[in-house]
Amino acid sequence: MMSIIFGWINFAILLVLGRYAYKRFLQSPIKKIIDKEEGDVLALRADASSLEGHVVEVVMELKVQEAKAAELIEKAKLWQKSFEESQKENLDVVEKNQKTIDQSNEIRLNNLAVKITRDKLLSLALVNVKGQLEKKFSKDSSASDFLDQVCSNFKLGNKTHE
Amino acid sequence: MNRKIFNLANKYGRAFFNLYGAGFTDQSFWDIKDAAGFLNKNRMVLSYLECAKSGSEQKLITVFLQHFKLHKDFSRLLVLLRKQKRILLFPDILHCILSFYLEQGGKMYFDLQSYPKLSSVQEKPLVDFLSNATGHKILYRSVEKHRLIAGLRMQSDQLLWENSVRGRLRMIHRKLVRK
Repeated sequence: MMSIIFGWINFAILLVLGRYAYKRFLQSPIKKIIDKEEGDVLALRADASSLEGHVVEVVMELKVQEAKAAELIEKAKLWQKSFEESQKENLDVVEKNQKTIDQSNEIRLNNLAVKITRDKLLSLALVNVKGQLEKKFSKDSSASDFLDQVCSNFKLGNKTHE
Repeated sequence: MNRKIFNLANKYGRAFFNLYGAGFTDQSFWDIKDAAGFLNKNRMVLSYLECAKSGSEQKLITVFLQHFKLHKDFSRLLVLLRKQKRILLFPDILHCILSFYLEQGGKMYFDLQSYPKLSSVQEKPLVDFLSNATGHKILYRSVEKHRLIAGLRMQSDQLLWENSVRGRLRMIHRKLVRK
C-alpha cells in the first residue's frame, strides 16, 4: 500500500519536475520560434495582401494596355491601309515614269539612228560633191578663176581671210 | 618631237647657230630645210653615218654634206653627234637652227599651197599681205596641191590662212556631220 502511495508521490514529483524542466528549458525557445513563425506568417500575409493589391493594379493596367494595344492595332491597320494606298499610287507614278523614260529612250534611239543615217548620207553626199568639184575644177579654167578670185581678196588691209 | 628631245636638240642648235649662224643666207635656209625635210622622213640615212668605220667617217660626212648642199661647218656637228651617239638628233637640230635663223632675221616661213600653181604675179600680193599681217619678212615656197581642188592655203608653224574648195568642204563637213 505504502509502495503504491510512494509510487504516486514519485510520479507526482517527476511530473512536477518534468513540467518545471519543460517550462525552464523548452517552452521559451519554442515560444520564440512560434512567435517568429507567427511574425513571418503575418509578414507573408501582409505581402500576400500587398501582392493581391498589386495583382489588381497589374490586372487593371493590363486591361488599360489591352485597350491601348487594340487602339494601336486599329491605328496600325489604318496606317497599313493608307500606306498600301500610297504605295500603290507611288507604284503607279513609277510605272508611268518608267513608261515615259522608255518612250524617251525610244525617241532618242530613233533620233540617233536618224542622225547616224543623216551623217552617213551627208558624208556620202560630200564625197560625191567633192568628186564632182574635182571634175569641174580640173576640166576648165574654173580653178584658175577661183584662185584669181581668192588672190584678189588678199590685198593689203583686207582682213576677211584672217 | 617630245619635250626632252626638243630641249636637247635646241641646245645643240643654239650652240651651232651662235658659232656659225652669222654666215647663213636665205639659200642656206632652203638647203637646211630640204635636208631637214628629207632626213626627218628618212632617218635610216643617219644610221649609216653612225655605223661608218672611223677611217671612212670624214669622207662619208663630206659626201653627205655635198649631197644635201650643207656648209662644211656642219661636219663638226655631225662628228660631235656621232661621237656622242646622238646622230639621230640631227634633223631636229636642223629644225631648231632654221627657227633661230628666222627669229634672228625677223622672218617667217610659209608654205603657199595652191591649185593651180600660183604665178609670180599672184604670189607678190600674197607675200605682201603675209608680211603686212605678221610684221615679218616672208620666206615662202609655192607648191601645187591638187588635193585643194581649187584655191589657196598659206601655212606657217603657227599661222594658217586658207580659202580652198577642200577647206570649204571640210568646214561644211564639220558643221553638218561633226556638230
